Amino acid sequence: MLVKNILMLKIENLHCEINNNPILKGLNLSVKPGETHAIMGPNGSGKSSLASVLVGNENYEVTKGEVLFLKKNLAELSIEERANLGMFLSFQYPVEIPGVSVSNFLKTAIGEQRKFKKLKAVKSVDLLKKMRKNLEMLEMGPEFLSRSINDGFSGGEKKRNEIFQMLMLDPKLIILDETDSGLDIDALKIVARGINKFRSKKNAFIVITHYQRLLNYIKPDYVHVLVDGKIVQSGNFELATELEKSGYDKYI
Amino acid sequence: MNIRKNNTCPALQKLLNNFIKKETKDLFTKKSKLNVLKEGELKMFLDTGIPNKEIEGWRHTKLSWGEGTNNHVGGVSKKKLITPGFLLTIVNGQPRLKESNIPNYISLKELNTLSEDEALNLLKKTSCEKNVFTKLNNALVKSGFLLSVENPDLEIVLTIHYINTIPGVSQSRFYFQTANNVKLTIIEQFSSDEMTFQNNTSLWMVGEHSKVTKFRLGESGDENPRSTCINNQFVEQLGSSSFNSYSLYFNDGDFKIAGTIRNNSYYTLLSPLASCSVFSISKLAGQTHIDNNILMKHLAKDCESLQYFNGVFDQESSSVFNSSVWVEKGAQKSNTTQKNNSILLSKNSSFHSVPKLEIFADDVKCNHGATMGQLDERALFYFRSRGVSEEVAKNLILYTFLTEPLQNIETLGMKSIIQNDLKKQLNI
Repeated sequence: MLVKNILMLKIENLHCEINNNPILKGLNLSVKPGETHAIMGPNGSGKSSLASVLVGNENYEVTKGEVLFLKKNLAELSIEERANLGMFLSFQYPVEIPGVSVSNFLKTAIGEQRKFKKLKAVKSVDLLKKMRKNLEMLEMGPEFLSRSINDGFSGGEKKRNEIFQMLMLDPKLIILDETDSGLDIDALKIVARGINKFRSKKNAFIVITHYQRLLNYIKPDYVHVLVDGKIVQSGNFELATELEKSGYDKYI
Repeated sequence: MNIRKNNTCPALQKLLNNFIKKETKDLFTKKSKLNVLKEGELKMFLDTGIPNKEIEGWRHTKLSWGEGTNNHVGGVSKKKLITPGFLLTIVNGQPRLKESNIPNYISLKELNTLSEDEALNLLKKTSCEKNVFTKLNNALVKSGFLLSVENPDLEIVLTIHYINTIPGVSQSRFYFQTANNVKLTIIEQFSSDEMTFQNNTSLWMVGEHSKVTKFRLGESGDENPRSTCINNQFVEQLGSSSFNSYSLYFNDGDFKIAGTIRNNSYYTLLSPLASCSVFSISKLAGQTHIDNNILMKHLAKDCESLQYFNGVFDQESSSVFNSSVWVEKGAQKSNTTQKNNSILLSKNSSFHSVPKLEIFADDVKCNHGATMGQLDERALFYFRSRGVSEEVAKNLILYTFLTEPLQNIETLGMKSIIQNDLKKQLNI
């Protein structure tokens, strides 16, 4: 019973700025395990900035407020500590790293995360098996593993690669930043299937998106409208449907 | 008989003056053609003097003697000698056959056993107007060898271990010559206990359809941070031959080096379909300085050349890539690439890139590109956001960057030897 009451994430009155420009202006949000929250809003409202602040992008300065992630003060955690505790961002624009293969990248990340958790290293054979299984689910061939990470990937491949990493790293709090952008409808279905299979009582999702499209496949429990750095309205899935019809005009 | 004063390091001036005085004693008494040439070369060196930073091509390299920090405690750390094939041991420029193991189809002649004509012809090939150090070597060199490989049926792998025990100035000269259709791999390794100023010349003559691959693991000055090594390297290639060179400059690991290194490399593609690839990877720290000067001459049609230099520079280390590609009129369908990338890890490290092209043919493909910068912060962030520490991420990115030019190594085992050495250095 106690577990249920533990918050995965608690954001209180969060203010942040970049190059002295205020972006988030008093954001509040609580996320419990098993929940999926959608954050919607017009361009420039601070959706991606929220994702960046949560994972620890050092270009953003938190000026006020507090974020607790699994009861720990986020401000005191390094980028890698956040990841090791189970935070995962599926990037809107994943970085290309020529020369580092997908499998090598993942092996390193999984190795480091297990070291952090004081767990024994996984056998290469077992890791490869798991990689193949997850690739299959995302309808990607095994040759994908030896390609340089994101280097020369199409928009769709980049997004699938992010979700592939999510499946492999088994995080607790997953932030999907515009995961639907650059995906055609078939790819979107495949990616959504991977995500839905991964959803459980133990993890939670924050889905950042402009459109309802993605939410048709990944049904959120809550929908929040972010405008000018603040959540101005919260509701259930119907709110997303409403927004799709009326747009964000009434909030601006 | 003194060297012209060019406002250079007085200690070096004195060192070289003393060396010349000692070496010229009784040298030119016999008036032979060879001696006339040598005397001419010496005069040219004396009249020009030691280059300083005001001279084109020397802007970023200061030659000195006994300057700079010396945290070298003396003695050389025991290195692992890699000898996958035959072994040739060279001590102070002279072959030591008792400590060598070479097959009978490799012929080895010491420099002083060459006929006058032979010596004269070879000497003429190793003179460069703009490089006075080739002249000093031509004039006064005494030790060295001519190594010829005849057998076209076997692939030959030969490790050459160069040992230097002479403190101060030393000069050697090495000629390598292959017949046609020879496949030869040379792995050069070095040991030196002394603080030295070395001015060495080598000439590689690659026969038709022959393939020479060279690995230079380290440098003749070894680990002494106050040593200076000048390498004047000439490569002449006949038709359909290929020459591949890999040079490693690491301040750590099994092939560790230090000091000041100046490479003057002259590649000449004499006949059609020759190809020349020069790869270099540097991972430097301290005050190590490596100055690469290259002239790649395409004299015939359908030739290819590639220069691929990647380097990572920490602390006060520095490097230069000063490379010219020359495409002669008539050398149509030449395909040339100059590529050099560097990552600067500290505010006090530096890198200078000067790629040049002089093209006199109209149907050629010549590329050049240089990148220089710090570690990619975005890539580091991406790694860290997946739980990888900054240190591990940094090392993995550097490893990937440094091993890029090694992808096409064919010599059995060499790629993994170098990769493993780097992995050890970077804790991967």
